[in-house]
Amino acid sequence: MQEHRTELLSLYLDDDLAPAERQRLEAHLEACDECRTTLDELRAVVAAAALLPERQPPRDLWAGIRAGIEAPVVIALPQPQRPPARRFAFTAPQLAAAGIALVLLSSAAAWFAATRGGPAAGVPVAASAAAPEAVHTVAQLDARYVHVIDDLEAALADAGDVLDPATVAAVRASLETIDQAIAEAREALERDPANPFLGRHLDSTMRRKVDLLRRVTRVASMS
Amino acid sequence: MMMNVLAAALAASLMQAPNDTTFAVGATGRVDVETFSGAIVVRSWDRSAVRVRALGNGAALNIRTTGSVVYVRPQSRGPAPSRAGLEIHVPAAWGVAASSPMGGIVIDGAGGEVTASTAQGSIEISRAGRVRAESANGSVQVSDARGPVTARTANGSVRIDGADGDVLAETVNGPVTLTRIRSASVEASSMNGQVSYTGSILDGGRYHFSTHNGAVRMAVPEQANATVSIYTHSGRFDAGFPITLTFGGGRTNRSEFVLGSGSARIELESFSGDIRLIRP
Repeated sequence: MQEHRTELLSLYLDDDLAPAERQRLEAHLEACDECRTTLDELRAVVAAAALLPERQPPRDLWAGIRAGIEAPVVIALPQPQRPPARRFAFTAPQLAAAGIALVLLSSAAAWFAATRGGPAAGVPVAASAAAPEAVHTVAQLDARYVHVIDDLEAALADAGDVLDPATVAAVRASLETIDQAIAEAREALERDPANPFLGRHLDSTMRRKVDLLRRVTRVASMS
Repeated sequence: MMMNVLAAALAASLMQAPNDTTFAVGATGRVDVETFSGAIVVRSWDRSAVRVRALGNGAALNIRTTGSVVYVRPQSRGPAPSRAGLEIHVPAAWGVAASSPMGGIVIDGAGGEVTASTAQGSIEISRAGRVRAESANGSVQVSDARGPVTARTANGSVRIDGADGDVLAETVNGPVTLTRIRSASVEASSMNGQVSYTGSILDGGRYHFSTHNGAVRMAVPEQANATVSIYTHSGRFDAGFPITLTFGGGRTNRSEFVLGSGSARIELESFSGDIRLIRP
């Protein structure tokens, strides 16, 4: 099965790839119809968004947007702390006006990446070095992990009585460490949502929490 | 000390054994041992026999064999779970599966597949074949493994010294230290601690080291052929030898450079720590 490289397409459009990586991706695009299609879709999103006029969309449309999608796509807003070095930029009103188009168009592309170019749906048990990257957003990662984490935390709370207090304290300390890391990674990704490193880092950090909770609940069930 | 040498006929179903029992076995097999609390120590010897000794007052042993697998479970003579530790000797080619919710595990010289898991305690495994070691609270140390190694803990350090197979090393709180590694696939990560690597960079290999809050230190041999990617969100990158970046900076804080043919893939990531490359 061919490995897709959709996680690099945004960087490719931004001309933000290393020369060697750009060359490898272009070679891959020559041979991969699906990635080429995704690239065309991303180009269409960028072109469509850039042409949209600066006007505020009707507020009542947002409820429909939220209801119409399972996982909202995070839209990059300029951040004063970390000015993005992108070749194209939108004002906030432009972005707001482009919201519907971006959600409808880029969610297809993002979910294409997540479902066809990235890991399988559900929570992976362990990291796989060979697994292709997906383009991660905070919303996608929340949708993937939060309910699993909630369930496992509830299971751990139920099973906590059977574990040694020192183990429980150590696990709590570890979970706090992970939660802190998740908060920092989430904040960074919200500021820079197109950064694949930050998306991957948040993904691996949330996955680590799931993995730890699973292991501890398994140990508790054995005790 | 009571010592019984039992023939193969003893290897029947569940049996109550004295607290120090030795019985004949084949050259290959596996011992599967679980205790509720107390240390497990397994060592190899040059005899075709297994010896099981319970360490603790009032402990008895339940021993059962199925094929070439010996199951060992200490049994308390009272209502409370047994808190006996166990010392076991096995033939050198045997594998071991050891589990203790509350107790450390030491396994030395078992050349087969070795798995060890504990919730509360450290794990030390040396001179084994394939290794899988997991602790929830305690350090994990593996040395001179001849097969793939997976070593995980939630709270404590992970140290692997000498490994020939694929390596996966993870901790949440604590450092990960890898030395004398000769593997084409190495992945190590911490959430809150330094990750360091000294070992071979094999052509075509993949090496991925990451931490959230801590430094990444890697010794890169002079003859290495590797494409090296560096990602850090708020840390710094420093190489202790001359390199020529093929890509650097940009909004992703990413740097990349190639050594030799670039055959291996090295990825070093730290969210808030520094990344440093040195010569061995």
